[in-house]
This record gives sequence, structure tokens and C-alpha cells, in this order.
Amino acid sequence: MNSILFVVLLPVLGSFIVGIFGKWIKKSLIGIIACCSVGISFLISAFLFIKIINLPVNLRFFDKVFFQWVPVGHFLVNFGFYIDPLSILMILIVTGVSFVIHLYSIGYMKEEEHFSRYFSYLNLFVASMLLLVLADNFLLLFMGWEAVGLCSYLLIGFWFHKKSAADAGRKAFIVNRIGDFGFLLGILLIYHTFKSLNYSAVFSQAPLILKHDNGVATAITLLLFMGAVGKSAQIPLYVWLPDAMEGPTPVSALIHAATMVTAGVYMIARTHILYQFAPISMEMVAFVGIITAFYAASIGTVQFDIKRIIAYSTISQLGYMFLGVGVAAYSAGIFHLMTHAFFKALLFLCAGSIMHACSGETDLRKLSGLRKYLPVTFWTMVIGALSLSGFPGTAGFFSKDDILAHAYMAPYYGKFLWGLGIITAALTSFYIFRIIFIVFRGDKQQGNHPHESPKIMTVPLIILAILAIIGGYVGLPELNFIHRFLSPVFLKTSALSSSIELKTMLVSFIFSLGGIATAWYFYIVNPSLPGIIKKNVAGLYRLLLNKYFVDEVYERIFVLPGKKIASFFSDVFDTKYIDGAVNETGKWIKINSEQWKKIQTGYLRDYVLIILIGGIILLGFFITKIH
Amino acid sequence: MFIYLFMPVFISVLTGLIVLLYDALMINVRKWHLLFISLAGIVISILYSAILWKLPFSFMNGMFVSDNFSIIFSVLFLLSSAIVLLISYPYLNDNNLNFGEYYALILFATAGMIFMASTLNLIVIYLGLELLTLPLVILTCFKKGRDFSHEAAIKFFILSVFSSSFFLFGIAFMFGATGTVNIAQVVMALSTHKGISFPYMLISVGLLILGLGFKISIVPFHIWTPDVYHGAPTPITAFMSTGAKLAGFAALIRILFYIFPAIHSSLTEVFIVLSVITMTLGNIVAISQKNIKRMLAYSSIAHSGYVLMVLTVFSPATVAAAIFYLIVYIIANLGAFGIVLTLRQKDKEYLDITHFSGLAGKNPFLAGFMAVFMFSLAGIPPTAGFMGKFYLFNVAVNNGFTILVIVGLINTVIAAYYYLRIVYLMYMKKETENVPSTISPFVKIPLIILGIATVFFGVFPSSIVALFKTTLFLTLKL
Repeated sequence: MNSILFVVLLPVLGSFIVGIFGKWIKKSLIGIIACCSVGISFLISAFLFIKIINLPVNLRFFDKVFFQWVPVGHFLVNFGFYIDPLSILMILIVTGVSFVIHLYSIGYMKEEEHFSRYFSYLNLFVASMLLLVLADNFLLLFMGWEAVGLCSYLLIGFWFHKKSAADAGRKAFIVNRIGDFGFLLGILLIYHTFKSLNYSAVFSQAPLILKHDNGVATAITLLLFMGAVGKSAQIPLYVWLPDAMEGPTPVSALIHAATMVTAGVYMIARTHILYQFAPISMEMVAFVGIITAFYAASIGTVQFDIKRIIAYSTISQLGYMFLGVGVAAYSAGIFHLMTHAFFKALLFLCAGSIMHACSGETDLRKLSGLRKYLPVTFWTMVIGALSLSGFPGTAGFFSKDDILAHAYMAPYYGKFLWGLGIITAALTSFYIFRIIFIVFRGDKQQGNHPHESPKIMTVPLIILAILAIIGGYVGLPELNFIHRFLSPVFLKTSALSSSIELKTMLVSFIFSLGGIATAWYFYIVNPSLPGIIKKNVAGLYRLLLNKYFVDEVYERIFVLPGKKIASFFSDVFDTKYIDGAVNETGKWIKINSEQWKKIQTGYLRDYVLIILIGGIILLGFFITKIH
Repeated sequence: MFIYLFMPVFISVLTGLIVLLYDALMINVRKWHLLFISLAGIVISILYSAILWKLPFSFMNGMFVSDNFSIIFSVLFLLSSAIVLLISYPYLNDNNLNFGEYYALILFATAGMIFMASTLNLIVIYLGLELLTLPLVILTCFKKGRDFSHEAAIKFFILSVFSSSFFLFGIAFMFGATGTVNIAQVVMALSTHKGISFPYMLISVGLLILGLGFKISIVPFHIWTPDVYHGAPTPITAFMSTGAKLAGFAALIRILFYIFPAIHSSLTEVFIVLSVITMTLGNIVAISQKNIKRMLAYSSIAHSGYVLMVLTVFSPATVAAAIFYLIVYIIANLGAFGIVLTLRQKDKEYLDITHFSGLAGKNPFLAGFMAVFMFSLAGIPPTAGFMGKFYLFNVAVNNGFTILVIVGLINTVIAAYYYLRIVYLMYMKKETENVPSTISPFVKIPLIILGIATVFFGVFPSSIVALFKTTLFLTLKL
């Protein structure tokens, strides 16, 4: 199990080598170093996974402490990794998807001047993400959590000379800060309650301490959830994710779809023991999840930017995952996290491939008829879209239905959660097939010379497409390997009766098929229809197109007043009062200095007088002390 | 046994006489012989002091005592004298002052300091004080033909006599009030309350503080300091601001240590006021000085103020903090004067602060060490000055003098201005006029040792402070 250290160390090493020596290394070698570090990391993870599987179920838990990290008095935090089926599965997903995306990046970023900077950041991100999922205490988790946020910021603003990219990076960072504020408070409250930050110590004490104190449990879990809301882009802190698409597309695929944004889901699954004592928080998670899912999907239906649509789709799918963990279907949530990582990374990479073909174009109105030119991209994207829509036989089908069936059984408003989930499924298949039909059907637009991407980019697409199909079969309703693998981690998961599961499956299948059919009817059969609808419900359309005006509202309520306060402090308060006070004090002391210097007249008689007066005052004081 | 007690003093005096006679009687004296003999005497003195470590002994009813406290101070006096002699050597040669008297006077003064630190008898303290002061007066005007020096020497002499008379008066009052001039017996008399006059005793303590306060430059008895430091030859200024000042502190700490517990409520406020005005005036006036020696004179006044902070409460921690601070101050101050001494050509010295402009480009060695000493005096980590202030302020806060510490911290900020200005001039400014520098190994080696010590005590201060805590306090009582 010691080799787990190398899973994290290798990407760190790769990042340093590429980052420091990148200037003197050829691009091809940079690509090899970066990919190998992640690839070997993946192989070690796979090796550990096999090792774990061969162990008896109750022996699959390790807390591997490497050294004392922060020993301050009674406050002791170790640098250690917590290895159990959940973290092993997570590192497998992270390193696997990362490796594929690294490969793709070599092709996609080939013309990029700052090739080494890109790969240095990307490797650093992988290391941070692994640290996040492997941490055996909350402080280390937080460190990983912040480090992925930093990498995300660096990569969103990778083309920082573009103002929109730099702004988007800042926005992501600031919005995440709000969530992290809650997250940190939650961690502090955990320390206050349990006197430790170590997972095993906290989780073993949780039943004793929290049983009688629901309030603390609720407070802790809600604060932790606040962090998750920021990182995983849920209402109301989702606004950064669509803008984050300013970064290079493989970054969107890796960080803003497959891995980092799912950290919130992982964190709730990891701390589910705390959540079990806070039913209010669980409901909150479920509701925020499903509302975000529906909300983001509705925006996605009318947008024109491919990457933004997929970004809204990510927000929406993350909502599903939160719905899953919110109804205590943790393994279903993690299962969807995994399949989503496959098909969403695939969709982003396909979008990247389209951009690659059409010189960076992402506007749906300017793309069409690409099927003939991009056959591999077309077929893989269709598979990704089917998987996202939950088409039977694809990965998304199993995982999404797993969540929806659990939602149906949920003790609170189960039918409502399920119903909204089903409607969202219909919207999902509509918006994703809207992209497929517009981009790939019809006539090619003039002026473009689209060309299929090179092998280094299409091979990852094919790998992910395969995973987007077969990835779901680990969760086949009756065999259900993934549930059996993860169940020792989670205390209890409600059992599903297969009749209900079949029923919900059927309904969601009908809805998603309905979505696809609608998209087909709107954009193939009767292309004038969307325009007519637009006119009839112009108000709703504008609302959706402008994303419910949330960005504008935030701008008015938070950003502008914030900027005003900041400019007051920087322009008026700082220059006038702070600097003024400092300068005046300095001047005042200098004036005093010049004055007091005059005591030193140079005349002996004055000196004698001063000593005499001083002596008299001193003795006078002593004499007054005589009682 | 008791002959060993006197060995440090005896050897100092003897060496002084030997040097004097050697220079007078021998024909064709090699000047470095004088230095060598003096240093050899100092080294032997230090070795004898070391033998006496942890062997407390009192001779003739406390007339002369030897305990860890006196030994630490004796060693410090001897070391600072040795360094002063080393850095003086090239200066003396260039000014044609290299005579045996110089060495002898410094050694006699050192003997006086050792007396001040190794007695419980006020009369002996007074004798030590005079034995220290008179050679210093001569040394101040050692460079003949400089009006400035003569003026300084006369001022120093008259004011010393003036303040000594207060000190003597204090001794007389003490005898009148308690019937003894031995401070240990004073304390005994106080505890029995037999035949003592408390009011006269208070007046006596006030006068004693005045007399010693003059020596350690407490405001307003500091008034001689800037002029005399300025007028004296630079190595003598270094000597006065380190060894001589330390001797005053040694006597003051010992007297206060005995007398304080009996009357402490009356004294605390005095020391708070003296501490505040001393450090504040020293630091503020230092800002507007243009001469480096005058600036260092005011800086030395301010440092006395810092030490006074903790002399209101006596515990192992306060004594250790005070002595550690004094050591740190001496190291940095000797180093700073050593560098001031190098900025000269033959007998012409460059003493303006602006003469440091651009030193870093011309002589990175000197500039680097000067920066270290300035950082230490300003109290910036990782130099010893920071740790010295840290222990001092820590002890003060622990004893409830938080306000005093706040004043001290504000003073540190003010002080940083004039210390860092030197660093600024050396590193950021261009040279304004051609300032030559003369470095000889006699200066270089002490500078390196002092520089290393400054950083060493800044990084590993705890062992020496712990040593002071455990060894000094217990034996101080005797």
C-alpha cells in the first residue's frame, strides 16, 4: 500500500519537471513526461484496485500515515492517505480520465506557445485532485480542495491576455471562495466538536456525539455543503462554471466536467456519516440538487455556444449526483459521478474536436453539416449524447436511473424529486440532440474547411466512447458490482425493489426518447418551428436565453457595491487616511527630533543644570514616597 | 583559595603595568608586542574567571565576591576590552598614538569594571567606578591637539565628578540610615527593622540610581553622552558604549536586586518613567543626527531604556533577559563601531551618515556586516537583536508591563528608521563623495566573529538564555 504515495508524487514530479525545465525541453518530450507521470499513476492505481478487490470485504480499509504534518500542541494533523473502496475508485477515475485527456491535449495544444506551462498546471491539477480524494483528514482534504481550485483558476485563465479569460478565472476563484468560506467554517466546527480532524477519529465519534445534538450535525453538514455548492457549481454559486469555458477545452473536460467539480459529491459521500445525523441537510442537498438539475437543463435548451450548453449540462448532471447523495443513495451518486466523467469528458472532447476542425468556432448558428467531415467525432459524440440522455444500454442509463429510482423511494417528497428528475431527463436529451442535429446534419456552411482531428485526439474519443457504453454495466441492476464494492464504505443504502426500478426505468426512457424526438422534430423535420415557438413565448425565451438574468442580478447586488467599497478604500481611505497618518506621524516625529535635539546645547553649565533638575525630580519622587 | 578570586582583576592591572613598563623601558619597542601582551593578559584573566565558575565565594564580608553573576560580567568586560584593543590597533598606528599608556589605561579601566561587578560593598563599587572613569577621561582626550576631544574630556570629567558626588552622598545616606554600606547587610537590617531609617534609605537609593544612571546614560543623566561619544577617539567611544556601560548595569542590577524586594512598590513607577523617557528620547533624537557617532550615542541611550523595562521585577527570567539583551547590544555595537573605524584614511575619519552611501557597491564585506549589525540593533530577525528584544518584551509582558512593551514596540519602529537608513544608504544610494576605507586583519577578524555571533544568537538563543536563567539568579543572592 506504500505505493499509493507514488500515485500522488508522480504527477507532482511531472509538474515540477515540466514547469521548471519546460523551456529547454522539446514539446514532444514534455507531452511524454506529462502523460507518463499520469499514466504510471493510473497503472499503480489499477494495481492497488486489483489488490483491494482480492482482499476480504472488511479488510479493505487502510489509514496510511506518512508523517506528522502539523503538530502544534494538542492539535495534530498527519499527512496520511485513507484508502478504501471509495477513494480507490476515485483515484482510478481521476487518473484514468486524466490520462486520456492528457493524450488528447498533446494534439489539441500542439500549436500552443506555452505548451509546458499548460502541462505543468495540468499535472499539478491531477496531483491536487488525488490529494483531495486520498486525504485521511479534513485539513489535507481542504488543502487538495484549495489546490484544485488554484489549478482551475490558472487553467481557466490560461490565455490570460484575453480579458474574458482572465475575468472568468477571477470569477471562478472568487465564487469558490464564498463556498470555501463555509467549508472552512465547517472544518473548524468539526474540530471544535470532535477535537480532531482525522476522518477515522471524527467518524467513529460521530454517532456518540451527534446523536444527541442534531443542531451541530446540521450546522456542520450545511457548512460543508456550502463548500460543495461552490466547488460543484450548484445554485446559487453555479455562475462561475459556464464562464470557465474560456479555458482550453481539454481543461473543461478534465476539471470542469469529469473531476474537480465532482469533488463536492465525493466529499458528501465521504462524510455521509455526519449527514446521517442531519436529515435537514440531506433534504437540502437533495432539493438543491434536483432544482439545479432542472434549472441548468432549462437554460441549456436555448443557448448557442456548444461548450456553454455542455457546461450547463454538467451543472445539471451534478445536480443529479447531489440528488443521489441527498437521498442516501451514495453509491448511486458515485456511480453517476463515474459514468458522467466518461460521457461528459467525451462530449467536451468532441466539442474540442469540432472547434479544432472549424478554427475555434463554438456558435451553433455557424456550424452545420459536419458529419461527413468528422466521422469519428460524430459517432463518438452520438454515443456520448445517448449516454447523457440515458438511452438504454449506455452507461448514463444505468446510473441515472439508479438515482431516480432511489429518489422515488425517498422518504421526503420522493415523487416530486423523481418527477422533476424525469422532466429534466427529457430536457437533457433535447438540448444534447439539438447540438447533434444542428452541428452534424444539414449543409456545410461556406468558408469552413473542416478536417478530422489527428489520431492522438480521436483515439481518446474512442476510448471514452467505449467507456461511456460499457462503464454502466458494472452497475447492472441485478449483478450490481459497483454497489457491492462500495457498500462497505456506506453504512446503509436503501434496497430497491426491482419492480419499482423497472417502472422508473421505463418512464425515464420514454421521457428521454421524447426529448430526442422533440429535438429531431424541431431541427430536422420542421426547422421553422423553433422560431414560431420563440415568438409565442418570447418572455420565457428571453428569460432562458439570458440565464434567468442571474449574472445581472449578482452584478447589481454584489459586484458593483463591492467594487464601490473597494475603490473607496483604495482611493480615498488608503491614500488619505492610512498613508496620511503614516506620513504625518513620520513628520511629527522628525519635528520632535529637531526640537529635542536642542537640549544638547554644548554648554557645560546647562548640562549640570539638567542633571541637577533631573536629580531633584527623582529625589522629590522618592521623598514623596516616605510615609 | 581567595587569591584566585582576585586573579582576574590582579592580572588585568598587572598586565597594564607590564605594558606600561615595557613601552617605557625597552628600546625599539615593536608596537604589536604591546597588543600581544595585553591580549595575553586578558586571555589569562578570562581563564581564571572560568575556573571560578560555579564556585561562589565571598571575601572580607562581601568586599569582594565572586559568583556566576560577577564572572559572566567579568568575562564580558574582558572580551569587549580585547575587541576594543584589536580594533584600536590600526587606528592608533595611523594616528601615531600607539603608546603603552593606551593599553594600560584600558586594562586599568577593565579592572575597575570587574570591581564594580564583584562586590556587595557600596564603597568598593564607588572605587571601581572611579577606577573606570578616570582612565576613560584620559582616553577621551588621548588624541592630542583635537579641541573637540579636550572639550569632551573636560565635560566628561566635570560631569562625572558631579554625578559621583551624588553617588557618594547616597552611600553616606545609606550608612546613616542602616549603619552599613554592604547591601546584603542592608537587606538584613531591613528585614529586622532594627535601627534603620526608612526615609533616608529611600533618598539614598534615589541618589545611587542617579550616580549609576549617569554611567548607563539614563535620561536626563545622559546629557554628557552625545558630546563625549562624539569627541572621544572612535575606539574609546566603542569602549565607553559597551564595557563601561555594562559595568554600570552590573552594579545597578546587583544593588537593585538586593534592595528592590524591600521597597519595590515605590520604585516600579520610577523605573517605568525612566525607561519610557530614556528610550523615547534616545530614539527620537537619534533620527535627526547627521554624525554616525552621535547617532550611535543616542541609540545607546535608547538601548539602556529597553533594559530598564525589566529591572523593576527580579526573577531568573528577568535577569537572564536583561543580560542577554546587553550581550546582544554589545556585540552589535562593537561591530558597528568597528565598521565606523574602517571608514578613514590615515588620521582622517569619515563620520557623516552620508559617507555610508554606496558602500555596498564599493565594499560588500563592510556593507554586509554593517547591515547585520544595524538589523540586530533595530531588532530584526534572524539577528540576535530580535531575540534579545523578544525575551525582554516577553518578560515584561509576563510581569504585567504590557503598556511599557507597547511603548517599547513603538520605539522599535522609530529606531528602525535611523538604523535602516544606514542600510538604505549603503545599498540603494550612489556614492556622493569618495570615501576611502582601510581594513586590516585586526578589524576584520573581530568583525567576522561579531557578525557570526549576531546571527548565531539570533538563531540559537535558547541555550544561552536557559544557562543564564539557571546559573545567574541562584548565585546572585550568595
